[in-house]
Amino acid sequence: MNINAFKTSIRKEFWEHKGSLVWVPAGLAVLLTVLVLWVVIAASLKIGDREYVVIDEERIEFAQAGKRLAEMPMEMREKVTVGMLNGVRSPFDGLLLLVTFFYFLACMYDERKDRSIYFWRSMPISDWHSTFSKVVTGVVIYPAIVLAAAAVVHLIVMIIGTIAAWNFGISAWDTLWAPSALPVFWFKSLIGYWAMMLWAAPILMYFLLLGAATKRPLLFAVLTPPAVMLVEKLLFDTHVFGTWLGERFRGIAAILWQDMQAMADGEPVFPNVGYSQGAELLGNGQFWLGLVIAGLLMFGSVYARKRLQEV
Amino acid sequence: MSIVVEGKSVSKHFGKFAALDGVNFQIEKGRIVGLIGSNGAGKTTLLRAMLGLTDCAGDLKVLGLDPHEQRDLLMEKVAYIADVAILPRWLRVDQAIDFVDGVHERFSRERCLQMLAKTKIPPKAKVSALSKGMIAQLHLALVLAIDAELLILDEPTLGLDIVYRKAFYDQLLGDYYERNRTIVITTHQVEEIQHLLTDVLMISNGHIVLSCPTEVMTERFTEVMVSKELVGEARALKPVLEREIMGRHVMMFENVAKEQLRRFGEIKSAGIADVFVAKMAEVTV
Repeated sequence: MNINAFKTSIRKEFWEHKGSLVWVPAGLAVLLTVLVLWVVIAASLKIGDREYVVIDEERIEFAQAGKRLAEMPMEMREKVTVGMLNGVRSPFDGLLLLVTFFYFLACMYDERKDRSIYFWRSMPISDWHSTFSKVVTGVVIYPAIVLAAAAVVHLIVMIIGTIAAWNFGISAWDTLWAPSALPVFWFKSLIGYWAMMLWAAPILMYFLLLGAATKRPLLFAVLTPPAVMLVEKLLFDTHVFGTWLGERFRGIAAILWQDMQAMADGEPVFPNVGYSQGAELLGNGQFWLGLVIAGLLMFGSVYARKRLQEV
Repeated sequence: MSIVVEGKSVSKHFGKFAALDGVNFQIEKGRIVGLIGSNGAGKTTLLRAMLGLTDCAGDLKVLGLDPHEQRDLLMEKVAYIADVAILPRWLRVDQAIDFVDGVHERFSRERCLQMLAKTKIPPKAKVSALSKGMIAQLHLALVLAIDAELLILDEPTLGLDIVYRKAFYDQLLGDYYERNRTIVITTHQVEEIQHLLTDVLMISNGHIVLSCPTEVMTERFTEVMVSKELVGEARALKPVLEREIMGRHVMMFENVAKEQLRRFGEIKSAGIADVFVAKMAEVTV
């Protein structure tokens, strides 16, 4: 494969879908930043010169709270900071899922609808090359962009936390930066995002195929699963497909948020899919079955791109 | 002279309809071939088969390659414009150049920029902000900047006004003389490109009805403005086309010596459009 041509094809995807792939995550980052700053400024104005707040009739002295935080065991500080980082990241998780679903529905449909497929196909790049560049854009590169946007908000929140820590006279490093282990959190988040994308690949590649082969991909995406479930129920009185699809969606949620739930249950905290969980995923037969199905659906998309040029 | 495109018994069926029915033809290197046919005649199907965009039965070779099986390789040597409207509206001019530059090893950015400099196209404009004519100019600049051995143009000036059409063909002709590459072109405005063509390939109902160099066609077909009193005598020579213009009989003859026809009235070489109409009438009869 010509690497330069492949990079150009990926750049083209970003030109074409700049709104959803770049501006939407950037916009969410700006929105969250404004929201955080608004909360901080509003709280500061309300508190004024006081050195305490009253919550549920309980008077909390800032100096006392800061001291208590600084004296927490490291494990507890990790829980608090990583919980905060996960909280900031979670809107981006939802955005990633939503945009990726729509990206795969649209990326091969749009080029047929505006007939630009004739232009792209007049270049010496294969249909495999073009399709694969779309898959890499959605599955590999976009998660990194979303995470980068989340990371910007993480940093802003951490800076605000640092200023607050200084005000309380406690060490920002000990209470915030060290327990959060930000680079590790980001790395694990990225691995988690990619793992989630690979787990969701059969659904994503099905959307890709719908965009490449049908006139109404969104309609098919919405109606096909209940239709298949209904036919299966009527013909065989089973619900294998529904169970399989349900597991796929539960898996997506588990990969993204399992540790947040575990945190709520008081389990030891790992921010996302940690190494052990990654290894478990690789040993999961369903994971590999999903990739095989995704590969077949991608093959179908390439075939459809060769055969069906226009909507 | 080497053969760039060769088709032997090329057929393409859509259900029971034969878009191409055992077509045989050759296109030689360095020629400008006009593929002429009415709507539904099989032109676009033939071009699509030559570009590997559709499969077909028979033996079709373009630059020695099977276009359907070796399309990626073929596209390194062939450039085409399928229709003026296919540049996506969201694409910017500079992005279009970057894209072709990134994926095509035979593309010359300098050459493309030189051609665009002669137009009024803003370098950062989106395709959606350009007029139809400008889009056609941009597309042609992108395609001509590719050092392609074969250039295929399917209705490249569709929807353009006369000014842009003329500019388009001037640019194309300038490029041809500079590089001497092979060009296959289809258009409904046959008269406008008549002077460009070195060969004609006429297609009707999936069959090639005429394939020859334009100078041979000019020699072969003669139009005569027949004097009223000689109409009967002229008809005896079996004109391939006869029509009445403002009370005067115009007849077209195929393979009849010009000396023999001169006595019937004013003679002139037949235009491509008239020859096409005659061949169509022949097929219909």
